[in-house]
Amino acid sequence: MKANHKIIFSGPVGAGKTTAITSISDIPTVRTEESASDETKDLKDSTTVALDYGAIILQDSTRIHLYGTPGQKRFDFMWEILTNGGIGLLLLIDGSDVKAIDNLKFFLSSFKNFINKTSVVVGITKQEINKQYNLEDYQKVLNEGLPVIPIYEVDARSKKDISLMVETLLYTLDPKISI
Amino acid sequence: MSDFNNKLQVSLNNLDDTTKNTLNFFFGSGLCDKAELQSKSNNTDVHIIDLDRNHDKQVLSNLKNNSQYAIIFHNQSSSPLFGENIYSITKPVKAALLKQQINTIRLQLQETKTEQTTLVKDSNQSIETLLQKTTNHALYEDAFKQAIAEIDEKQLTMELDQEITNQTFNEDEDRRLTQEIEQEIINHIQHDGKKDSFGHGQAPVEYDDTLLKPKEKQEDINHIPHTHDNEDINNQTTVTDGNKEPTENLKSETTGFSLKTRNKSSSSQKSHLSAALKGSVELDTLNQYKAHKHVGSNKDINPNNPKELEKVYLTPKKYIFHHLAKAVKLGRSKKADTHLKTLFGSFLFEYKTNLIYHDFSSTKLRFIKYSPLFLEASISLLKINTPTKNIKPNTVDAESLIWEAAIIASKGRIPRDTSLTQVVEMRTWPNYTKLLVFRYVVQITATWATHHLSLIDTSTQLNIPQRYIFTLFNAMLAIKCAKTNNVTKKSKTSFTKKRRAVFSKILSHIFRK
Repeated sequence: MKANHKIIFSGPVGAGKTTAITSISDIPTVRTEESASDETKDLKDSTTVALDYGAIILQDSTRIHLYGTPGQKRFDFMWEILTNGGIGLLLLIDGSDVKAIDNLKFFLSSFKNFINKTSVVVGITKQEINKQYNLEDYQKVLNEGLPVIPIYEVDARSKKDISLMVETLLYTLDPKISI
Repeated sequence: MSDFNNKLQVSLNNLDDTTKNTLNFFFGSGLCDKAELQSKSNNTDVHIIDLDRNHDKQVLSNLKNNSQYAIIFHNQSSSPLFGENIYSITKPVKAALLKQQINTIRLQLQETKTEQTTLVKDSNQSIETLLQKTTNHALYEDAFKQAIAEIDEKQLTMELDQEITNQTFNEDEDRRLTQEIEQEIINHIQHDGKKDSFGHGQAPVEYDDTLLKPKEKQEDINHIPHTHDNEDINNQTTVTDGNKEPTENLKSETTGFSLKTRNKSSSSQKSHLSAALKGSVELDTLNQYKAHKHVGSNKDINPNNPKELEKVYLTPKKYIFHHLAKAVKLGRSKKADTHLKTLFGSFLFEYKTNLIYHDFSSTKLRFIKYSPLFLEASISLLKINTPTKNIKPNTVDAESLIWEAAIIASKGRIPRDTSLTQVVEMRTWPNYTKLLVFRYVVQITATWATHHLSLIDTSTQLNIPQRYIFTLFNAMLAIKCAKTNNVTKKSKTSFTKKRRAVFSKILSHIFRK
């Protein structure tokens, strides 16, 4: 039986989780989107309610599942289910949101147990649109000492940027990976 | 034959495809702009011949009957050929040596023609007089641009050559390069006016002479008309009448030799070279060149050997990245814009936007990043909102510029007195989506982000050449992302092997895509 490998994408509503998964998935992304009915509708028309799903298919047909969590806090019961057995967390934060720092704190706290067992890479999106904070401001939020949490300014549409996040995640889990 | 206001004409005689392709690249890519390839060998100045291909011996015998020159490639096992117009190079051919021989031949031909011209015209005007007249009227900027172009070209040639031969870039070489660069600049600016490169020539700036280390003596000229092996090309200089290449260019361009003109247009040559380049570039060589471009080619050293240790040290204050970092640090601490004034021009750091303004061309900027000439530079605070109103210079993110300058300056070296055995302490993770990255960068950073390891231990643990680790550390140090810590911490050196195989496959998949 093949092992189940999955990478988790999380972050607040509108951070670009679905876009990020689409940018690196080898299969068409499965989305569970519904019309937004709460405060989310101010941000976008539809939103993820259960999960987004994509996959990287390796040469030997092994699937690396890419799961995107719903962004709303009221769906947080889904987070634990989705993270179970995951390789690590890619956390996307909308940099144009005035609450970006608070969001970063909240998600780091919410996924604390998972992060402690695995690893996390933070991507700040939409910095070029309406940057609310500099990267240094986000870095101050992260804990001092080891491990130093990787944090990048990324474009969720860019395969290169999201691939860099995945590469970073894997190397922080095991720096001795050889290709 | 060539008119020496134009390029030396070179033909390739029955070389194998790999050599042909490499030479097509060499002559077509600007690495050797004193010569160009001709498809037919009838009326060329120089023939390039591979001695190992027997049928070329016929060409050799033909050469004796006319005044054409030949550059012979031969194996180490075969004996070099000797002759008045014959130059030999042992394979594998070094780019710099080939270029040097091309220049030598060009000068020899030029000298011959000079004698002829002098006899015919009975002119009393010496070359030196003409040269003096020319240089007196030359503008600093033109001369400087030419110097930069020559230096950059030399540097590139050396880089390519170093990669091929796997030579060690060390302090000696650094020193030699420094002297060469200094001499080039002194040659070009000593007669000319000075112009502020940032002020668009409107306001001359008095440069601080201390920024340029004075050269004590004109270097002796090594006249080596016939080189029979590839020994120590770094100690050889281009053969001139007391001047190095840039001045020689001026000389040849201003003495007005009356020689035969070429019928072939240069455009046909360009298309020939372009066509050759399309399918012929040696990818491996290019990849090696790219890697070398960032991290150099230093071999791993034994940290217990002081002599070897010396090879991997650089003095940061000689390089622009150090002064840029200081200017940015000052600006941030004072919350003000800063002005960095150097020999080559100015940089302005705008505190609010975190941008650096300059008006250097990319070639000039690369030279500036590389040059170990910045013994000191002045940094001054500017009144807020004063800079950049009436100028349209280039802008670049401060961190990106410092990072890239630190990499280019480092080439596998670290600041003097950096401990190789103290652990690396990482403060923040560099924003790699906005910075220049090279091979192993993420892997090394991840190691320091999760483990306390020294520079040497990092190389050992990851089995990565030290030059990659040293280059990255120098860049991270420059932007204050990491430092070595003199407090020995407990190092978690065990690496989990869990899922390593699948991680490896994922990475391969990502890189392949």
